[in-house]
Formats: sequence, structure tokens, C-alpha cells
Amino acid sequence: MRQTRKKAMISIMILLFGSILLLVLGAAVFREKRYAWISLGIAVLSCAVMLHSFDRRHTHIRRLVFVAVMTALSVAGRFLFAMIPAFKPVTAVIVMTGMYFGTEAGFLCGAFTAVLSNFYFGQGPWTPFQMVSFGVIGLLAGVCHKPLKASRIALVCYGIFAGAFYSLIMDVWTVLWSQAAFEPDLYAAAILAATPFTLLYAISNVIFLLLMRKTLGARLQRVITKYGV
Amino acid sequence: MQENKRLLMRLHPITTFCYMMAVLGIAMFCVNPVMQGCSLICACIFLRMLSERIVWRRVPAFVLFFAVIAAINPLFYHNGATVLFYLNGNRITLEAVRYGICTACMFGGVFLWCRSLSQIFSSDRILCLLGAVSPKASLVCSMTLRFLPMYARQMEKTKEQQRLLGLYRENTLIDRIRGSMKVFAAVTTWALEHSMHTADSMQARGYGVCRRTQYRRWRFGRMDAALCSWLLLLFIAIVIEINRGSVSMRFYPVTDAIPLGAESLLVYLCYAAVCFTLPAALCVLRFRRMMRERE
Repeated sequence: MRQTRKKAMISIMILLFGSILLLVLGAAVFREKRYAWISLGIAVLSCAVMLHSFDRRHTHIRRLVFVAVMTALSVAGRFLFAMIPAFKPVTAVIVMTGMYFGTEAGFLCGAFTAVLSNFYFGQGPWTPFQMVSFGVIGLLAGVCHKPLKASRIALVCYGIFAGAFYSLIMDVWTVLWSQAAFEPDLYAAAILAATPFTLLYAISNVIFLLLMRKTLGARLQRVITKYGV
Repeated sequence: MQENKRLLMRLHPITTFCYMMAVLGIAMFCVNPVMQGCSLICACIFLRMLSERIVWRRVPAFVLFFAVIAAINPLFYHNGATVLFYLNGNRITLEAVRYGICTACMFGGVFLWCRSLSQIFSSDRILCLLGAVSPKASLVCSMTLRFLPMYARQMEKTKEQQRLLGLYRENTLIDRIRGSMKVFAAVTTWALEHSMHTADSMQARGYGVCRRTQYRRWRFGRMDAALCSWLLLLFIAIVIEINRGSVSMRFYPVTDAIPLGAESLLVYLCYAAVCFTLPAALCVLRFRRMMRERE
């Protein structure tokens, strides 16, 4: 237990120092679009740190396969609902993974879902940001799994938060990318333009989380008790 | 075309990765109309070399998207010295329009590059690169990629059965969502149970006993080494020049003239050379194959 905490501390330290280094480097070296450089760098760095710590730690093979299954399910969910835009069970599945299998599984499920589903829906420079935002949604769900499992209201709130968070990160980045400096006006415009999507994300998250709370939750709990993961 | 794609697939994933990083890294972060134009043109050429034909149906949507991105900047950003006209009391300036067009070129170029590069960057190549960094992650990803078609099949089967039993309806949106949800839940149980067999059989066959090794399909040959070092050299030179400011432009309050000094021209040339690396490599590969066939 102490060992894992120590490792977690080390990875957080690496992330912190790496981000500071990137900030300093970005401010000192890169002339143009320094915000875009820095944000992309931090996104890639945080994914790399999580992957590295996952790689170093010994994980039971069953957990590993579970992460693969949940990732495949969320990608398949994106396919299943491909005919309705922005109305996807992806976030809900990632949140459920975080709730039942822990923070790390949540992050990995989110990050891998972004990469793998983009093989079919189009890769691009937005992939690292999608990885981070989905990953953080899964990670936070793992952190506060107790209230999320206990009450329906907390789950609804988390669903709304996840939709808003995803939309905000993607918009921040679009604005940062197109602009040399961070312009509050453009950012506000981007948020305004993305409001329908934000609402759709939030609504679909809430609907799917409420639908899955019983069905998927019971199934995951059953597998956990049966196989002792 | 298929043959071109197959020839490029022979290159090592690291080479393709270097190419992608060099081309996209510069195109995404350098605001200069010449560079953006170069990237856009090269992206079109490369896409044409890889795909069978141009899908003309998609062109209007692409141009529209392009125009919207170009229009967003002047509509919401009002700095700049030259006022073109007033819209709802807001100034629309020439500088903002110029910057918008520049940004639109960048977005368009990056989209086209992603289109063409994702054709040669298949999932097995990404797994090869990921496996070098984190073998466990690449294992999970490859398992997921294997599960996907399996789950799609299973979902189709479950749907058929539900339909046969008269439980699946798709008249309204609510019905469809409910039905999809039911299928999804059924497949989940099946998938979780099935995955446990996979895990147990992996354990039984000795997973995790020693370090994970990787099957390497590609060999890092002489051509790869040459291409990689060429790309790296040009990339570093261009980045140094960009940071020295020889191609940078100020857009506000008054747009600078496009830098056309000797140094800037050299940078443009270098970037064009970077962009044309893989098309040129493709030509060399085709030429070599032709010679071999003639013999």
C-alpha cells in the first residue's frame, strides 16, 4: 500500500515538474502559439505518465482484461448510437468503469476509448485532448465512487459535470489552437456555439447513467464478487 | 491507390511517425500563409496518391467548413487598424479576415493530412509504436481491437433474437434507445463472462511470468534510417528558424508583409522538402520495383 502511494506521488511529481518545465520552455523558446504548444504538451505528458505507472505496476491479468472489455464496450456503444449525433453512452460506460474498477481503470478506459474509436471516427490533433478529458472523467468517477454508487442525485450531477467538462476542454483547445493568445471573447463565443452540444452531452450522460445504474452496475458488481477482481 | 499504400506500408512505423510529427507539428503551430498553403497543397497531393478517386460529393461540405472557420475570427475578434465595414455595431477588420483565412488554411491542411496519414497509420502500426513505450497498454489495446468485431457480431445476433421474440421495436426514437440499451446490457454480461475465460487461459499459458516481448513485423532498414535522419535534420532547422522569427508574422494591429527574405525562402523550401518526403520516397520505391520487374 505504501509502495503504491509512493509511486503515485512520484508520478504526480513528474507530471508537476514536467508541466512547469513545459511552461517555462514554452514561454522562453516558442514564439508563436505558445499556449497551444504547452496545452498539447501537458495533455501528452499526463497520458504518458499514467501509461508509464500502469506499465510498471503489477496488475492482475483479470483486471487487464476487464479494462479491455470495458473499452471495447464503450467503443461499441459509440457505434451502436452512431446514427444520433453527440448522443452516446461512451461517457456513461467510462464513468461506470471508474466507479466499479477504480481510478486507474477509469482513466485507461477513457484514454483508450478515445484513441481506438478515433480509428473509425477520424484521428486528429484533438485525440490527446479527448484522451485526457475522457480519462479524467473516468479517474474522478473512481475517486468519488462511494457517493456515486449510493445516490442517484450524485450520479446525475456527475453526468452533467462530465458533459460540461468534456465540452469545455475541447472548446478551450479549439480556441487555443486557432489563436495566438488566449482571447476571452473568442472563448465565450466558442462556449456559446457549443452550448447545444454541451446540453446534448449532459442529457445523454444523465440518461445513460440512470439507465445503466441498475443494469450495468448490477452486472459489474456480480462479476467483481464472483471473480474477486 | 492500393499499390501505393502497400508500398508505403513497408516503411517502418517510426519513419511514418516522424513524417507525421514533422509535417503536422510545423503546420499546426506556425502562422504563415506560405507555409499553410504549402501544407494544404501537399496534403491534397498526398491524399490523391493514396486514395482511389476524389469524392466530389464531399468537397462542398469541406469548403463550407473552411469558410465557416475563416468567418469565425473576424466576426468575434475586432482588433485591427483597417475597418472594412460595421456589422451590428462591431468592426469587421481586414486583419482579422486575413488571420481567419490563414487559420482556415491551417485547419483544412491538418484535416486533409489526418485523412491521408490515418490510411497508412493502421492500428497495427500504432500498436507497434505503443508496444515500444508501454507493452501492457499495447496488449490492452490489441485485445480491445480484437473484441470489437466480436461484440459487433454478438450485438447483431442478440438484436436478431430480440426481434424474433417480438421484444425489439424500432418505430420511435425512444423504442430504439430502449432496444439498443437492452441489447447492450445483454452483450455486456456475455462479454464479461467471456473475458474471464480469456484471462484464465492467458494465466494458464504463463502470462506475466517473464518480460513481454513484441513481434516485430518491420525492419528498420537503410531507407528508414535515411528518411528519419533527413526529416529530423530539416525539422530541427525549421524549428530553430521559426523561433528566430524569420517566418513569423504579426497580424494585429497592422498585418506585416509576408516575409520573403533569403532565410524565409529557405525555410519555405525546407518545409516543402519535409512535406514531399513520403511522396518522393514512394516514387523511389515504385521506380525500384519497376527496375526489378524489368530484370
